[in-house]
Amino acid sequence: MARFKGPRTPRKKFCKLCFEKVTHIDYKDERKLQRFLTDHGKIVPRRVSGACSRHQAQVTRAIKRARVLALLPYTNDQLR
Amino acid sequence: MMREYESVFVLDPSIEDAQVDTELEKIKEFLGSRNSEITEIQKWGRRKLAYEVRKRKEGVYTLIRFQAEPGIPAELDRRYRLNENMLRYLTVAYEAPPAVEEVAAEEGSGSEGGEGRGAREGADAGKAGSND
Repeated sequence: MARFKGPRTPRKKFCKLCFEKVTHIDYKDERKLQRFLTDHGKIVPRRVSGACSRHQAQVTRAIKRARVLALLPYTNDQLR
Repeated sequence: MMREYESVFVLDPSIEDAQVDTELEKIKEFLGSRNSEITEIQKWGRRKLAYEVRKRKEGVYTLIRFQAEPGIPAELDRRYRLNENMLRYLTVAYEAPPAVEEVAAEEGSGSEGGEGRGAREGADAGKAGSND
């Protein structure tokens, strides 16, 4: 019998980078940065990623640097 | 005051490998003439670009790390810009990655859990200090 499920209680978000105790984010490591990009190549917003302000800023800066060097895309239009 | 910088440049893949070395030599020479000391060179080689640049799908990546006076990176970027073979370049202040301290392998029994934690926290405090 289907049980009534009340309103969803969202799990509390936490900064995964704080959890992993990351102190340095390298713009050259595009594999790790990929986690913070959507499929379209956009930077995942903080409200989704749950990153704290410091880490979000570090990630953003690293991604923007990586984009300059064509390590990461500005957009990924092929998917559209 | 000398500062440490890190510069990555991407060369056109259609040039010969020898030419890549010549370009690197030219940069080394330039930095040498400005009394800067090169601390590291990494040749990443041919890599796929995340997007096309001047119709090219790959590029030859090279990283160069050096100590120099503050005005030098701007001069270096000016030289990059004049070079037709440069697809992309980026020069930034070098940020040393935190020293990876090997936490002494304490693969003991579960009773040592508390102790192991304490040791790890100590190591992280050291990291945070070295990062500043």
